[in-house]
Amino acid sequence: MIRNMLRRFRGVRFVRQAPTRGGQPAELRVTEMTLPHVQWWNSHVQPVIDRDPERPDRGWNWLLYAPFATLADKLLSRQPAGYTVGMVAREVGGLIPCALVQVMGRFPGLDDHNKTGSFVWFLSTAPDEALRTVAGYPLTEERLPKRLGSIALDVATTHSLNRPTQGRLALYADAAGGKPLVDWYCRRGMEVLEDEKRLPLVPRRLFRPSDGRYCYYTPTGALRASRELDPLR
Amino acid sequence: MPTPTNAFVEIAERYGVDPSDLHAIEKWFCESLPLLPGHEIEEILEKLLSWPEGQPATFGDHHDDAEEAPPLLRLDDCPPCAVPLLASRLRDLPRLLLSRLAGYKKGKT
Repeated sequence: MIRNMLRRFRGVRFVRQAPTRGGQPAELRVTEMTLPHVQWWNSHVQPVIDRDPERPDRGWNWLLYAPFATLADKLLSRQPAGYTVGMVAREVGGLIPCALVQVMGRFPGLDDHNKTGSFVWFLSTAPDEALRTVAGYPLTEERLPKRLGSIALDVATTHSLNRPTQGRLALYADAAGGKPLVDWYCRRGMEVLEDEKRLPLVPRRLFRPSDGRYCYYTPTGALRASRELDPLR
Repeated sequence: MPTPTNAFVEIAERYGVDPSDLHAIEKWFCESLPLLPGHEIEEILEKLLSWPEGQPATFGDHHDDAEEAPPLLRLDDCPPCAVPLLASRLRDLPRLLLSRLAGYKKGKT
């Protein structure tokens, strides 16, 4: 308990490295998502994703999502935030976006409707092929950052842990990802909202009621999941 | 998580934007939408959040190879995110309490 309190007091750092197949960790930087990041993603990464029929994020357009969320941040009470997880390319003084995360910073908790949590709106990671073919900085297989999905989810968790939401985090596992996607979130320590359980009083309750694909972290679950990635911070 | 792209297309179309022109839609979300009244923006956000499942819109040549690809992002332009809003607030807590206490005492005397 004291360890958890201390962790909240100190705050949680974002992940700063990723394992690679070659063994030498890749340096990462989590930065605020901006339009150039999204433009780069749309021209270099999204086309590779779009070619893969298995990807749930096929057909996404971050050029629409990101600016709108930034605007909503200023005007609405949902407090959206966008993050880019980039691989640091020191040799060329560049940053290669490896994952994008869009979070609603303020959303009713799924486990406790009276509490506030965060909600992952969009989360996407770059396929290996996109990183191997970066113009001017192609990565070899040994240098490709691994565990990008876990790292991207951790960014959202860290966002929630460092705010009064205390780690409470929810998301809807895209139906295109099928059961494997829900299972993947479960392996990250998330709990699944039972399909007969009611959502908090938000429009989603009406339009997209619980169907067994809403996953969430309680504050305790978030702390547990966060500690697992501590070696990468 | 999944708000299909066609949700954005349909909303922009309601405001008179050509649904086949993705650039016009992006431009509308970037430039025209901010000029709408706050409640209207909120309504749109809620609609996007609760959009029913659907096939993502396909734009064919949406990723136009002929377009000039943006260069690699400069590291200097991407500062690392500052850690913890909450933690920094908590660190400030003793100072905040002292200043409140000082203010309270001042008000009392």
